[in-house]
Amino acid sequence: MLQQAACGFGLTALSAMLQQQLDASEPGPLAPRTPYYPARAKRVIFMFMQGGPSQMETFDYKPRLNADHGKPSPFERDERVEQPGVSEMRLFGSSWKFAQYGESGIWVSDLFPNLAKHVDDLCVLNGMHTDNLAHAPASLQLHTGATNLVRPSMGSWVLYGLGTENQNLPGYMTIDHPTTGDGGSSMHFANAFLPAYAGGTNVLMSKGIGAKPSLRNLEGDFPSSLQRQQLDYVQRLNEQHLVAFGRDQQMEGMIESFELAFRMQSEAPELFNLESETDATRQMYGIGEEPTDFFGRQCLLARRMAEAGVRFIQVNASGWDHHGQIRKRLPENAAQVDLPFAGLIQDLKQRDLLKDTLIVWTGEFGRTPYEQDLSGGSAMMDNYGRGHNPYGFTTLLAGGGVRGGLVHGATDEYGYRAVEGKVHLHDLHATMLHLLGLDHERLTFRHAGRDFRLTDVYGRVVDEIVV
Amino acid sequence: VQAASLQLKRLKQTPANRLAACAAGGVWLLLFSFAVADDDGERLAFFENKVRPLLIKHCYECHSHEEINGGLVLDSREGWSRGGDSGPAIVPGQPEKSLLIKAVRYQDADYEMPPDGKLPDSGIAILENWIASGAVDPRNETPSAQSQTDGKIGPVSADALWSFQPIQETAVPKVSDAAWTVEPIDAFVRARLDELELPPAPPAENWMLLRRIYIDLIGLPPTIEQWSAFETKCREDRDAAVEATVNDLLSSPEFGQRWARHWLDLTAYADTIGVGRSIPAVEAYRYRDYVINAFNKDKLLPEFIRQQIAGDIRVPAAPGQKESQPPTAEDIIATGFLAIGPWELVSGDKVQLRMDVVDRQVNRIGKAFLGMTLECARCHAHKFDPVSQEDYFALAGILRSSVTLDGRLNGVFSQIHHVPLPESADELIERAEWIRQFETELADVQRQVNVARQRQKTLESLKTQLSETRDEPESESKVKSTDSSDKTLSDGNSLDDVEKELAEAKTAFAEANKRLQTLNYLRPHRTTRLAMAMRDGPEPEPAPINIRGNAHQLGQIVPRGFLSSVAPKAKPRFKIGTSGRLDLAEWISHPKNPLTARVWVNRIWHHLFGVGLVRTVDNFGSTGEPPSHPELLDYLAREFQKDWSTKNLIRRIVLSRTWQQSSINSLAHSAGADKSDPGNRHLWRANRRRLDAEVLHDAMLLVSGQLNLNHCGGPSLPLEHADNFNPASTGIVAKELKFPDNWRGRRAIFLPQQRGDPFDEVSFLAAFDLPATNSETGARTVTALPAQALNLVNSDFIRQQSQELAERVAKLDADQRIPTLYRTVYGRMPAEHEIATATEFIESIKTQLCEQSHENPYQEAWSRLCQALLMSNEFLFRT
Repeated sequence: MLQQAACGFGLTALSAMLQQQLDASEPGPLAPRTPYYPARAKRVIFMFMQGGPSQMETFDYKPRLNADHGKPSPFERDERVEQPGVSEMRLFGSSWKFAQYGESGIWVSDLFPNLAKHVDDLCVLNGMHTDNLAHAPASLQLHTGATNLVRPSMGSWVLYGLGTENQNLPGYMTIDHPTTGDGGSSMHFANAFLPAYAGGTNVLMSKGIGAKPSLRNLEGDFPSSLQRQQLDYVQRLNEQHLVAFGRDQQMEGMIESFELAFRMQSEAPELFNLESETDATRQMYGIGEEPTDFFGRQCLLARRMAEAGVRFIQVNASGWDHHGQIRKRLPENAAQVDLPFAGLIQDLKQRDLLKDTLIVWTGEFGRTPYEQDLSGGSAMMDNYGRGHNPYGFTTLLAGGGVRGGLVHGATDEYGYRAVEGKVHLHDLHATMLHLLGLDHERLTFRHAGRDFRLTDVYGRVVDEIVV
Repeated sequence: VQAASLQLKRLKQTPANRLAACAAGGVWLLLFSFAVADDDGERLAFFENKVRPLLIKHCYECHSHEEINGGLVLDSREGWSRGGDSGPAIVPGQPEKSLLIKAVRYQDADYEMPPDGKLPDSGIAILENWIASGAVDPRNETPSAQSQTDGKIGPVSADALWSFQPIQETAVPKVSDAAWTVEPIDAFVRARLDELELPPAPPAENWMLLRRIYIDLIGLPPTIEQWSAFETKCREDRDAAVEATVNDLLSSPEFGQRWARHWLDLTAYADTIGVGRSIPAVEAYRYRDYVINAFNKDKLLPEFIRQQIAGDIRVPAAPGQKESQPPTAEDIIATGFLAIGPWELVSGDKVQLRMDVVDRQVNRIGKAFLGMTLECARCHAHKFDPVSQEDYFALAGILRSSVTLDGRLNGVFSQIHHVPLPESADELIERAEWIRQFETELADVQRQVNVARQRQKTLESLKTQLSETRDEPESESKVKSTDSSDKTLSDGNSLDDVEKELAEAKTAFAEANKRLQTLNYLRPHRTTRLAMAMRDGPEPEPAPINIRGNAHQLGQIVPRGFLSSVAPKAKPRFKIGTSGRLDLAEWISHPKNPLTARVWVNRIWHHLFGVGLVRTVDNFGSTGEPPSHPELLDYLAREFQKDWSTKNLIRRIVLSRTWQQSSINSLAHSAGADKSDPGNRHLWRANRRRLDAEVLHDAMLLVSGQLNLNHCGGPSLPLEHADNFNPASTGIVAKELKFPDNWRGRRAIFLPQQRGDPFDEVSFLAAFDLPATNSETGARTVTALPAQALNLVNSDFIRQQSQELAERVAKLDADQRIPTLYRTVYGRMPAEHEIATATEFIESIKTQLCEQSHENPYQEAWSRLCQALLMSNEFLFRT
């Protein structure tokens, strides 16, 4: 081999050698894999409503709460937990009317007029509950199953379990993920102890009409043809080096990763080109108009990723943390999301992608049916908000083998605690994996001496909602 | 309900149940004395017809021997009578005392069963009646699966685990080629190779060896000057040249800057606190600097352990000493090992938060010093290792008797305990000057705020006036003539002008006010020398077992102690009135503790070979791997215990033939070693590995000429800069930080570390497997991902370094450029054909750039050549 090198061992020979190695060994870790059993869903679009949307004002209709508005609430205070701005725990009714929609007759509030049209495609989980009532631990748990430990995110588990269909794009992408502030963290999409290939990639996208998505360091100022030339030169150096040392997995890995990066550089900008869509499609998502443009672009990009074979896609809408002024601010948040979400369902449906795309819409927790006033007593009722509530909230599911037009589970008559058809976050995770054809108890990874799984020792597949 | 009651109406109480019911109290006797089976047959039928189906339908999914949740199984009588983590599930005859009934009634939010919805009342009644009538249960067969083993140690006994055995005296083996072994290490390695009939690799060539020494010892490649000096010395005596170089590097300040980073990986070090909001850990840098200094001063391991676990505790006077010495500043700072997060300060549940902190500290100590994963034992007996839940809470009691979080930062946010540091006379004088300067600045900013506020007010009133005037045009002259006090402002000013000025004044006020808030936020840190550190609580507080890790479900209180299956086993006697951390530190570094020296020696080996003798460096338990060379590990551990000197240990290893082998596949490779031992466990050659993120970063700065070795410690976060910090509430650090000019080019260890999302400054490093700052790890993963390639192709960092390097090279004579570039980046001269291809590359790129009318094609082409070399494996790998 050394002799060959001296004679000028060309790039073709190098790629042949690498190819041989690839053929001889197992397929790459990201190659698509067959799930444990037939999958209902091939991919996930996860919609993170950071902050915790109020269930009582959106999808969990509570007439009794409205009737008892202003009365002291019957709930016992949890003395173990500090809750600023909650003194009397007076009940606080919804300011929005609910009506029944679709053949299923599911109740939806006036805040989601567009989504309401698709209610027969939605599965409304009204009995959700989780463990922590602070943003950081609760949103970490939403993404990783653990409130305060370093654990792989759900998308990483999915990628680890299933690989991805497009080898030229990251298999797990989240768009404009909140990474700062109380509810944000890059740990939400990190692989933790899973192999690094399972980590999520944060697609940068700014607000402002017309802003384009991008990846960090995706684009440089060097024309592509010159860059290819530079890369060929580097690979030539690498080839000589490798031949001198003999086989080396890490060195070969670097060589291969440059090629993947190069392919990504040509494929990702095409993926990100939302301008290539028709005006009609863009309008369906509310792109080009406020307040829907930003989330609309996220949803449209999510659909493009779904088509391109990306396994786990996350879109993010921040700012649902309505401790104050919920009457003014909640409609603003809802309006940003309603049309794009509806557009996404419609678009996936017309492309026949909804049947194997699982959509999950959820906050990290819900909100209290009693008022919260952080102004120190000076605010008027109109300025009140609601506190964090991990005991009961609403998650929406659609597509991917989930029964549409179904309400599963319920909170008590005020919307505080889940009492029927309770679904813990662990159960949601177990069910998501189930729909993807994975068994949450068998999808394990050995680390630090034990087998870890997304659901730890918990989780139950909610069979009732599976088609 | 009716059916069930009817069926039970004729049941009669058995003597045993009567007794139990009497003990429970009269109420139950009255209620249920009538509801007991006439004979066992009837009660059995009730169980079979009503109870068993109900248990199967609602409980078995999670509580059978197929699936054991909460340690509880309900598919055998023994299962429920032993119960789960919370104790027996059923007390026969006493429904009210049975946890099962509480759970199905949803009486306690922590136990609502079944979790997906309450049973119908009729179902609950069946269970109540069954239990009341004595809980007859024929299911005496015990399914084979293992149940929980609370209170007992895990399945592997201490006697069976290699790492718990005393460190052995091992004889240095005899080998085939005595000349090859310059050091006993070589004899152990060579003996194994002889056994396998594998030849060792030849010694590494100079270029390979010198780069390896530099990178492993100080984390920087050698400069051209250092190359030349080494080669000159080598011509006289290569071994002497190597030894002199090693000694030089071991005593250089850059040594600690490299090796501290290895240790910091095990401490979850960061410059911000929690995982959510980016709250600054203003004083964390002191701990980082302490670790650097500890390695540079070759702090002996027992002292390193004492300072980090118990530095704040007064050490009793040694024999011959008059009195005990109070802790020094360094002692206190060292406890940052335990004190610096990640803590979830915002958690509203402070009882749980306190336990979470303790948990983290127990795990950190266990992993870093003992190579044990203790966290499993927080919730149940360790399934694999000889660690019981009692062991865990015995250790937890020590940390629980100490204070980490103290007081409030803001509202619900807790605060890390800060300790004012003892100061020398000079330091006191120096600080008096800090205070003077700080107070002057504060007063000055306060004045600016006042002025800005006043100006804003004045302009606001003027604006009001002018608006009114505009509304009533006829009275304009009147206003002007009567109000002449603010002539300078109002005369000739249109409303637009005033509005513009007002906007400016508002900005000026906001800026000054933010500055004032920032100074107030930083005041304690800028006027006192503080450290984030530990202290003992008012009195020892042994910890109760937290059932399933829940701080609100408590079991028995466990006396403080150490791991019961690790020698020295003498019952711990804690120094009176202290938390026991000092005793814990002494126990860890006791020569009879078989784990500490082995774990440490193995960590050093891991950093020098890329792989430990025990590959699972953080796990010496039964699920970890046994050592590849057990005798060598014990030999080194024993030798290390003689002086506890890390530098001596490193020197021995680096001067061994084993470490100095070439990493090129050679004789052993052709003898089939790559097939029989592809992982090179038997060390038939040196290992190759990609540079760590920090080394890569620092090496690029070095070759580009931008490395700044003058910056060697101090604060990581320049919070004074207005764009870097929002002082409101808890204080939040910006993601994109601006740094003073003289910090530019500093080594990666001094870059600020963020929990969660890395600071922009650190994003280059993050792509190259920088470990998450929220976890402790002794071995980094090495991956090859497109994100790295994209960084090497397009990131600002590499573009800058390539341009700087190109500029350095451009200054040379034309025929010197490529050779110097090769020597700078690779540490060797290029071959003729390499010069030719590089020249060809430059020419080709230049021509094409000219065609595209690039403004500086020549420089750009050179910069791209430099970048290509920095992207290539020869630079990226240590061989």
